Amino acid sequence: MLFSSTIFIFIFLPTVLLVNFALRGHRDAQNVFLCFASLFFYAWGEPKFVLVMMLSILVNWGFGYIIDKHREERTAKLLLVLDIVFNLSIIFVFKYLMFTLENIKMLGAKNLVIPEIALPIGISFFTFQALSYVIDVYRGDAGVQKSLINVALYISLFPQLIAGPIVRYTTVADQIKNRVETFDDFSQGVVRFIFGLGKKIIIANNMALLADYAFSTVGDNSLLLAWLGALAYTFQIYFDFSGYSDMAIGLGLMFGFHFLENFNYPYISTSITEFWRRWHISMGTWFRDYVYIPLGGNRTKTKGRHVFNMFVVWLCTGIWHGANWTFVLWGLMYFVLLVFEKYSGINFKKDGKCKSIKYVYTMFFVICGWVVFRATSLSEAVVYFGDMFSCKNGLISDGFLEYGRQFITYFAVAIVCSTPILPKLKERYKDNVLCSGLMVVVLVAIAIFSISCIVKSSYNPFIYFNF
Amino acid sequence: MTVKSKRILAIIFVAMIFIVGITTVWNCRHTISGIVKESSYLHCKSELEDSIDKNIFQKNQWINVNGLLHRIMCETIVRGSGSEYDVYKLSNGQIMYNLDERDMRDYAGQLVKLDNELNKLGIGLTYVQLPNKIKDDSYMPPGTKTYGNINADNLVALLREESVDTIDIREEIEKAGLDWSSLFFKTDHHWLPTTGLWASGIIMEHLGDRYNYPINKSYYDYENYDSEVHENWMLGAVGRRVGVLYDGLDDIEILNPKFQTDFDLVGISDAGTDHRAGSFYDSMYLWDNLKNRADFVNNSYSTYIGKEYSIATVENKLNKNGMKILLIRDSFSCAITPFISLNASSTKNIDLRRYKKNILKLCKEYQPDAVVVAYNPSAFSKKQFDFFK
Repeated sequence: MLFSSTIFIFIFLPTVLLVNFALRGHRDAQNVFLCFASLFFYAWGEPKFVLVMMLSILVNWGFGYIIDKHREERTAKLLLVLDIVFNLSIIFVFKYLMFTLENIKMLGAKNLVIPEIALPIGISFFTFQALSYVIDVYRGDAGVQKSLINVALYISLFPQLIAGPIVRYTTVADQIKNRVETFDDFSQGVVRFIFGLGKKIIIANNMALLADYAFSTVGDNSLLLAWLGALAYTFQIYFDFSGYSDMAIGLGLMFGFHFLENFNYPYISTSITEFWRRWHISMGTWFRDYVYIPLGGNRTKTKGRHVFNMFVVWLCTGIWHGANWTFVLWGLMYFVLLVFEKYSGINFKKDGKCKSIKYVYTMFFVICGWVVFRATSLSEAVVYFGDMFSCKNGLISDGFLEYGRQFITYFAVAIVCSTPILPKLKERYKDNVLCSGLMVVVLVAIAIFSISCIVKSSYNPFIYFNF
Repeated sequence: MTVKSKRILAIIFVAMIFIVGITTVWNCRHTISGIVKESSYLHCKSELEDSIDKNIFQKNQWINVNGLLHRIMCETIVRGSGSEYDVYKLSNGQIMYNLDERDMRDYAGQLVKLDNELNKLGIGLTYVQLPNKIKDDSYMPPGTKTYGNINADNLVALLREESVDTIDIREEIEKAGLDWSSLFFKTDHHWLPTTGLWASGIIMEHLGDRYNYPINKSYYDYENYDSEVHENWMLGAVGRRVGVLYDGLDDIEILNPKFQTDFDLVGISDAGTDHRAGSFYDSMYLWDNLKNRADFVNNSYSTYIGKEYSIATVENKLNKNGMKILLIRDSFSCAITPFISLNASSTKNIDLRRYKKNILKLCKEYQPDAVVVAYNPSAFSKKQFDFFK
């Protein structure tokens, strides 16, 4: 089930809010209800794969429990390794097995039969959350959760289930039992949900029309249309992903959960390092805490080892996004850029000189990176770059004129919303009654406009199939 | 935002999702009770989602709001669920869907074959090319192309090469110096009834000359009609995709002859047989289609003649010696049939999207003086050129 669907907004959400409210004061009952509601939410779109998620819940709960029991023994480490192997095996089978076999076949094993394996939506998110739980228990960063329902609730909680943020167990461990639902949190959650819905439906979905058009005519795009398409995808993925995160954070607040921020205006960054501090923060910190630091992080004896650690992290980051060489290349591009920023000696800090040049440098590679990310294959990415960096199809085309004119207002809105201008204005006038009233009107309008797009069954792509 | 304003917003939001949710479930109650008996999960899920989408509380108002959003965002192309559902805002302020380039050779071939077969029966064929609302690319948003009238040009050229009797209403518009934009509805792809009246005069004059029947030209004089204008009333077929707030509503004009008329109309559709008799005003209009302002279901334009019948017969009781015409038609003929019937003794209207029988067999039985095929460019489809079923 998608947040941006009529069945979620008008049937699922009111029902779950109502029952959750009716069960207030009975925390265990609330948790049981939310757990089953979340499983239903997932099963609605993935009736078979909910079993995979339930298996993941059961096994990780079991591993957490046994690891805690054998905390002082060597078996704990072995059990942790087994749990990691189990989780990575699930991801590998569903996400990477076909890709691996296809590549083996290309290398010569022509008789190899490649099975058709569908990808359970959100598998990378819920598996990483499950891993985070067991690792945190092993490390002693979090206490073991004896209740299967509570572990199930943590892993399957519907707000963050499909598209993140990747909630760490330590973030919500206490909230599962002791969260406090207040009307103010609920109200803030509604505000956040509406903002997210607007970002996804009004901006991202419209940007998707242009991006999809440009990528469907790859090889025939004029130079400006290719850039326009790349820019549209740059905005699409940001507003889609951050919109979903906003909705997740908002929904979490409605039920008393406080999730951490996942995006912090990444398109104002003046370096790639800064960009990754602002983009998909929950994934970045997950890889930092569970891959980079255990490998030694930057506290290594040699530069080579540090570069190797970074290489592993960015290879994993690329592959995490999908089983395709495009994602590998995309991840490695960031590895190269981050090593460059680390060791070139150039000051990439915001207060340094040539801020605008640094900004252009950052956004140039971010946009080029999204082209690789969006392309269905490396060859398509190369052809698309051909459109972007040559005039073989001319500078301007009818498509550019049509879409450029058509989407100019959306681009203007997207640019403004990519910067912290609006939050600064909100902060400045936070106590102004007139401005607050205006904000209510604007948010009601955003909600109504967004829902109108959903009701009209406008274009509503889902870009997390790879994740 | 102050805490109070956030609370107000939360109350509004919760009220909205609960009111819409409860009323939608109520609207879907029959579907839901039916679904419970279904065994396949995926079928149930898809049925339920479809039912919710269709029966959502105040669906038309949501579409109106959506149109307003597109208007605010200055969109001149409103994307639909497929390119055929895209709506284009034209340079003259009207809205329309676009037509792709089509190969007209097969369609021309079918018409030539029909002409030959009718000639064997001693019946003449006249093809009438009706106009597309989008005259040319200059009407389109920058960077977009339209092919409606280009497709029609190609068809007309091929038919004239094969000497098929052809009237090109678009040429007549040019000759008469009429303003293209003023001939069509703003929110509908159809032409105005007054344009249909004018075009009917051109067609009947041509047929009268060809088959030596006297034609009363005064029937095509607007001055001979009383006019009943329903202002800001009609939401056309294109307008229904974007709602009222995107491009507004059209006026719809009902014409009532000042002269005496007496007709008998029998129309057959999937829903059954309609029989209307009496004056032009009593027989040519299906008033149900004019009941509601901004109607998302019925097109007020279809007040003329009514439903899209698979076959409809109009007998003119005051002109028993007039021409017998078999009109193979699209919806533009809703505004032709009433007016050509004034100078005919009998007309039969066939809509090939619905009529399943053989045309030649019908011609043998009906023995028309003239067979007229009148199509606008959006009717260029296999179904509508399938004359030999």
